[in-house]
Amino acid sequence: MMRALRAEWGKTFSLLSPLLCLVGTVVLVLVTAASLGNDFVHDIGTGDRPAQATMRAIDALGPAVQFGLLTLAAFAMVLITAEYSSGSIRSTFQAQPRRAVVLAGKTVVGVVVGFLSGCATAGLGLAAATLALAGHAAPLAETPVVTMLRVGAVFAAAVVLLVAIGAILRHSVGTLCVGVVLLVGMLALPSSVSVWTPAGGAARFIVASDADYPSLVGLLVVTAWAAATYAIASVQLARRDA
Amino acid sequence: MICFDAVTKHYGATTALDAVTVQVRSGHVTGLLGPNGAGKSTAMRLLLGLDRPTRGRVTIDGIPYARLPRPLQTVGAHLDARSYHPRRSARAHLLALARYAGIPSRRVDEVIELVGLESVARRRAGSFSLGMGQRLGIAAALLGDPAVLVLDEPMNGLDTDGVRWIRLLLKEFASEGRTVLVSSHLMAEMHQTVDRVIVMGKGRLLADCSTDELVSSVSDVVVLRTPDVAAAPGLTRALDRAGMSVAETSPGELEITGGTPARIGDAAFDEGMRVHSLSVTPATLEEGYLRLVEDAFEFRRADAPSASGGPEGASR
Repeated sequence: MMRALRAEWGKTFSLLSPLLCLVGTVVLVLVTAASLGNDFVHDIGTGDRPAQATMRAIDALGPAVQFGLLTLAAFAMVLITAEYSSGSIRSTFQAQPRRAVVLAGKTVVGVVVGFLSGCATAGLGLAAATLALAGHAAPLAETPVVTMLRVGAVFAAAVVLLVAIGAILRHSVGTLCVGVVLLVGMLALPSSVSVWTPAGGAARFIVASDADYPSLVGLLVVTAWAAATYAIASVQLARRDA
Repeated sequence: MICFDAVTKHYGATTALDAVTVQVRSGHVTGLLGPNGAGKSTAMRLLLGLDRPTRGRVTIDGIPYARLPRPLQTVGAHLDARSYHPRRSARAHLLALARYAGIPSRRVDEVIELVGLESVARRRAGSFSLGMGQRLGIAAALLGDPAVLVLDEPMNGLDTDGVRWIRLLLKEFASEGRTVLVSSHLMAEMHQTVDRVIVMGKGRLLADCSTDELVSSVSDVVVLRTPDVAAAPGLTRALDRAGMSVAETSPGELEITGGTPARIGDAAFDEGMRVHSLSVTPATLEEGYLRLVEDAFEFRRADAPSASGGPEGASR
């Protein structure tokens, strides 16, 4: 397994596209969070909101992170679908015919990178939102470190989900479409349904909302979807012709 | 030794391999020949565990590829000219494979040098020509210094030097007692390279024999040149009676199959014909192969119940 991790780590960073997706995610979240904070302040300036109104930076970060899940999905997808589109999956399976090890190697690398970039993204996003809100930032209920861990965990689970979808579909565009629907699009569903989707679970867990269920359940929802998809991917990968 | 044991592979309604039983022996360069759609690539994919047989088993020294403890060090294979990410450098591609197989990175540099890619090793592999792509694929196959080498059309796109290099490499591998299986449509090149052949057609085994056996199944052509154009019909009749076939390609030039220069020379002497030249064009692997494939398919068109077994027999 250590060999698979070394190999997949090297592969991930010997291409530009995964790195671009990660940088894109950080920038997207940062800009969106700052822009939401700035909109709030702007509303106060125009008199649409009272002068003493405050906003929690986390409320700007939540939607921004959900937005960032789009580019994170692209990062996770590239880990596996690039192998199929280039044909290099055949070389990989020759070097490691135990396909479960290959899938696990890719997933673990993705999870580590996803978690770390989630933490970094959340920290920077919170800072950007707080700066944009200037004096109108309400105190946070949780320390920034906890929020960073929350976003890191969501990113990690989202990576597992996307790598698994990629292994099942073996197609970039298809994988991205399904990923976007699951991680973001399902927010459009009625709340009673969307709370049980990855998008709804992630949204509630990131902002620590206990309105529908304890926020930790939100993470469990995302993780359960990811685990189920991963199980299907493992079985498919083992049975199918490469 | 590679062993196909009653291997059948269906892709949907298509039968790519039909109950193929054959062994690829070590110490030989074995050519895998057959027209397009014969099942050559399928056989190689099954051998490498990339596809699963519908029935039967493919093993390498008794073990299926997926269970080999050190796959890359046991079987080195190159199936497609493009089996790498175009935006990854050649070195990064090989390094990833080496890491999977627990092969030290210095071996990566060794094989890069061996295939002559050292000056472009850090360039994106997508910018490579077909020949360079082939060299990269061959480098990947050599990475584990394997006991079995499997190459699908390795000479495609290679320059003359490259083709010669591959030929020598394959022969050297076989002389060291390793197993070499190589497919190609370049019959002249295969004739020089392989000492055993496995011929497939429409998913079935048509022949498994030595190259010499396949070539000797077709006769050499003897070309006779004479200034006595008028005597040609007489000689033609005489040779025909002796069981040879004669074609007059131009006035005074006869192409004779089924005879030796000695017999033809004697017959011409008996006919009182002056002979200016008698030259032998040796039969080629291409002719042997074409004869075998044509015979097999005509045989099958005649509605034979079992099609395995050409002139050389499939059960060998």
